[in-house]
Amino acid sequence: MGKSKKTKKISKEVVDNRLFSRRQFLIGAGHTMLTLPPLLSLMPREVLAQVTGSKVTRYIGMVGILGIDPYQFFPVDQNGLSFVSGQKDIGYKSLSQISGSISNIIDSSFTDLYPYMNLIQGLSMTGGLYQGHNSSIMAGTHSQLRGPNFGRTIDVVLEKSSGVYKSTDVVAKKAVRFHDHDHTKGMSWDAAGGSRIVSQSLQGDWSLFNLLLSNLTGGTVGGGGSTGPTQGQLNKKLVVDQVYTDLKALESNSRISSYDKQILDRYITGITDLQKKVAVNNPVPPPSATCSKPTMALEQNAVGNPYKFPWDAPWGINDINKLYDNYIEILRIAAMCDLSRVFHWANSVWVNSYGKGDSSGLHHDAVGGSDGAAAGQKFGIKKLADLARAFKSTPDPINGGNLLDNSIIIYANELGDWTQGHNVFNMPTLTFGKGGGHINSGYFIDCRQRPLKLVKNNYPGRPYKQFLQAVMASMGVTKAEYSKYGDGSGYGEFIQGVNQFGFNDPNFFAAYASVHNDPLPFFYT
Amino acid sequence: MPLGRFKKLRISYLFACIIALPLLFFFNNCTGSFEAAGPLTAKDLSSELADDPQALTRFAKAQNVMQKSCNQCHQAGGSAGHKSFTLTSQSDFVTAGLVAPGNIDASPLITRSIHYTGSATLLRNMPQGGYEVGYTQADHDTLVDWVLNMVKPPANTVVDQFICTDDTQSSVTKSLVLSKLQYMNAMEDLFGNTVLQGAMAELSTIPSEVNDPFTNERLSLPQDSDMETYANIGYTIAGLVVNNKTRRESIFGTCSTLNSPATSCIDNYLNNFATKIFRRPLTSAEKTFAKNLANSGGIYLTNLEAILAYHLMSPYFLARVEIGTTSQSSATRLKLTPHEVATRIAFEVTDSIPDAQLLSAANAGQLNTVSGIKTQELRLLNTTRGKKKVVDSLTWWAQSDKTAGVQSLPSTFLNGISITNLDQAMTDEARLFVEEVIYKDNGSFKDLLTSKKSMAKDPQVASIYGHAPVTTTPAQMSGRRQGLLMRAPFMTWSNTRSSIIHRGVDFQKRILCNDIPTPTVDVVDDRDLNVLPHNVFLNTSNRDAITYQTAAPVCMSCHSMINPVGFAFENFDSIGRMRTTEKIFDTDGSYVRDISIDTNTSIPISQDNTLNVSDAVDLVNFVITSQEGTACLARNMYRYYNEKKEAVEDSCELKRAQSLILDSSKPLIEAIAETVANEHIFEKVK
Repeated sequence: MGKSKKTKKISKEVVDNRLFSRRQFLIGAGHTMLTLPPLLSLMPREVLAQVTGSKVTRYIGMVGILGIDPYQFFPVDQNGLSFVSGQKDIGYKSLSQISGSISNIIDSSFTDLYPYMNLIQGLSMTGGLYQGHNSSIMAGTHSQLRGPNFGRTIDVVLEKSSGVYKSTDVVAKKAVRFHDHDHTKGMSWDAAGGSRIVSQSLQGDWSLFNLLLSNLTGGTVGGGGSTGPTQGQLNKKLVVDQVYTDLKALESNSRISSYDKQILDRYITGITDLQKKVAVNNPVPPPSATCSKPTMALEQNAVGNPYKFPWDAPWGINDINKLYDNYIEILRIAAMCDLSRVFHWANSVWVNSYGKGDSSGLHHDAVGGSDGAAAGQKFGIKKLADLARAFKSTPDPINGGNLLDNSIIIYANELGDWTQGHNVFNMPTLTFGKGGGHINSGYFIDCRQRPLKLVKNNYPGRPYKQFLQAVMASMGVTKAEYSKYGDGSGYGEFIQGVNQFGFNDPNFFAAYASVHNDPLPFFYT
Repeated sequence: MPLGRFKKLRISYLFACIIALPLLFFFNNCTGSFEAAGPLTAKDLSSELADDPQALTRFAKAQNVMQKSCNQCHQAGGSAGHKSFTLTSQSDFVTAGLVAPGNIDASPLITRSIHYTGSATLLRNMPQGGYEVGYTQADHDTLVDWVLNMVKPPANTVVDQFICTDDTQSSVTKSLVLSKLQYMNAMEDLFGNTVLQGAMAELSTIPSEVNDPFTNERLSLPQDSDMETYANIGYTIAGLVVNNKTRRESIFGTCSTLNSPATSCIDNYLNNFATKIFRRPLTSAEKTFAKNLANSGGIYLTNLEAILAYHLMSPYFLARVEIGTTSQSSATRLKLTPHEVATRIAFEVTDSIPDAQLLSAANAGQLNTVSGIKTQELRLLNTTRGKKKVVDSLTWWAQSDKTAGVQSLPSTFLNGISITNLDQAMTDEARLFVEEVIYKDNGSFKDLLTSKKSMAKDPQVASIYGHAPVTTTPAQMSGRRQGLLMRAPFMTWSNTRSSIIHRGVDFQKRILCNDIPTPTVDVVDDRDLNVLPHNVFLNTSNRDAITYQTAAPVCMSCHSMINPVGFAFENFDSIGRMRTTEKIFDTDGSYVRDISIDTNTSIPISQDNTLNVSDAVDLVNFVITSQEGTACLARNMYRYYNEKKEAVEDSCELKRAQSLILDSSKPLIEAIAETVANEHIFEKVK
């Protein structure tokens, strides 16, 4: 007992006084970790999770600019939607029901990610202003262009939330922001204090590497430390998985009738839910991971300096693909080693028709018009999919499963349809990951209001902020907490009426007055 | 009674009106299953006899009775030679005015009998001259049977309810999830009642399925949460079994108690008990999974618990999975395996899993023929569960499985009848009656609808039926009451005024299979404006009040079918007591006056067919012998046992069942058996 008390004392001293950080610990004393007393911050992460009763979930948000032509992005085939009971503005369809390409941008190369992916249509800003470039999108407002400063982008909310970081959690950086453009609007800001503070953001893989990985020396994270599930719990998981296997085998039997398939579908959904519960309740100890400094070749500009992309003359990017691959690997290691849980990626790089990175080409003068602009956006989105694949193939040493099971990766964009007055009615929204079990993935989700209401050649639907709230909720942020950051009625901004583009309906979003502060249903569970 | 209250009352009374369109159009709406048929008048029946051996037999039996008890006087030269009974054809009897086909109350040959108990008022003093001594009730019944079965219209005007053109066809089969009852029965048959009681908290969470009230079509699909419910129950049951030495060893064998059971210990379970759960032998993959789990180390019993729970969560237990044999000649019609056939029989007949004999028959290849199936089915129909389902099905058809609101009737109306447990006593009696007729009497459809037996042990129900409480032998009902369709449950209603509308609608829909659409709210509102002033209402019979309120053409398109049926039952009050006058009560329950009852009416039976009846007995007797009534029972049995509505493809199967229902010499159980045991049980239509 005496030894134990001493251990606690050391632990508190170390943590309180920041005598050395967890990162520093990993840097220099991999072997020491084995001999030091089990400091709370250094305990195997799943033990920590048991202590704090929470799960470690990561957020990676890629925010694009310049909008997407919705016809290039959303499914060509939208037939066969099912609707959530009582909610005609939550239609859904399993992505696995779509054969081949979903759209020009979401082509058939995404197929392997379908079980982890969601494509959401019809999300709309509800800030009263529906036109113009909007770097405030991640705060659920359009306020930067329209006036008062209020709110917080979700990366800031996450960074400061006790739902994401307990007071005992120690990471290298609570939020990592990087960008590859000089968009003065920043895409990340905090105006909760009454005036807007734009977040500082890194540029290039060098700076990201230096912040997160340069000092890693081979310490381990996760694994062990748990008594593990009981025999009965393991059996239960085995049994539930086997029932799932049986059901899937039956469903694929060609002699099963369509009616019987309906029954099996219900059972499969039910057993899938049960699988989650069994998995959550009875975690299998994950294997530990080694956190070593990678030996990747980092990109640099033409004069050999650490890369500052792309407007840092002279133009000298060697390989934009390699640059993005480096980003991906850095984020993968950082997530695996729990160096941060919030990653904000402001993206504007397009690959122009010459295969070169280009951030200067506006959508209006994209070579090839809408198709050309789509090709540019496609580059960033495909790289985000590569990040999802990297997460999927990496075991999660803290929670078990893989990193993608316990992450929510989103693609957002400041504009909805750039071809229609730069409106923000149909925000391109793509996600990867199961958010620690809170994200119902594998679907095309159609949130457009029913009956469909045409405004500026788009069909607006549920408030976009509900999507952001779902992301925050999946990370452990409570409704009470995120609702503080907005116009006073909840997160972001909610105005019922639409009066733009010659269209005037003061009650256009009135149906959402009582629910706009809730997470997006069906998507969030 | 305040007018508002009266309006509310009317809403409850009046059931079926439809939206305002031309009358003819709406008549068509209310006659979805009407088919053209000839009027039920006297026919030249002699020509029928050559084609109908059963009719020949009935006629011959009747002639024997008459020869024994009548013809000494009723023959040429006899003391009653002016009314000779030595006639050679049925039509001669009709022409002579001695019998009215299908209507015993209009047949003097019957109504003059000393055993006649109907409404006709002729002197009941036949036979005379000492011959009455040998004239038994059975003799009388023989004559009644003959007269009732003479009602068949001539062939050229009768339209078959089922046009059988291709007996190879049958409608789409759904593989159903076990109903709540079936799940509970299966669990009880597998583990016994004691285990069930131990898991009752979990079992009470099983969701109930939803079926259409008339077609019995299963409407509900499983919910996402059901699987967790089944998993919880599976684990609870498995725990109760594994942790009890006696139960464990009976299921897993004594080897399961050893410290180190052999790897083969689980084999006994997999080859025996598990096959009861899956209703078939396990596949090698299924066995391998279970064996690996059993022998995966750790605590052996914990592994057994998981195996049993797994089998109870499996779709092969929870649903009637039908995927047929591996070699199929058709993509849409699957030949079922013998075990799938056995499962169908078991659930359709007993609402539970196949018993040991049925599984053995499947293993032995004895379920490959209709006769093989029928053997098993008739056996199962005589088991406790089989009998219960037969009783369930017939009381459901007759709507005697429930009562309607007698608890709210005022004491002035009840007049000494206690309502304590009255609902249950009424339905219990109906169930006992069905079991008596079907299983003890081996009775026919006709018996079910004409028997005057009462099984009422409850003093209140016995009082309603006019006899002392039954102790051992059944009592006899008195007066113009007979059979299953004239029992108390069907008559019950929550108001002192009997429900002409509900009786009419229910009878037309369930007993005659005529479609009566539900009225729209707008029509009901319009109709409710057409009410009698309160003081007039208190001086108006129930029949006249309903007639007044439904007089508008928009209402009469359906009520012309509904009301007359209700009128015929007006000699029964709202708890099923017989009456000759209607007692009128005010809204406060106070008695106002008596008004005489009129049950004479003309009932539209089909598009061109109207039946004149003096009361419900005539209507019921029509049902027994009519195409409409017998076909409708065949439809309802099909619906009940298959949980779906029949389709055109099922016509041949239905026609066979109907012919057995029509034949008063055939036990009704044979018709029920035909519903399950036929060629179509061997295949699943996708």
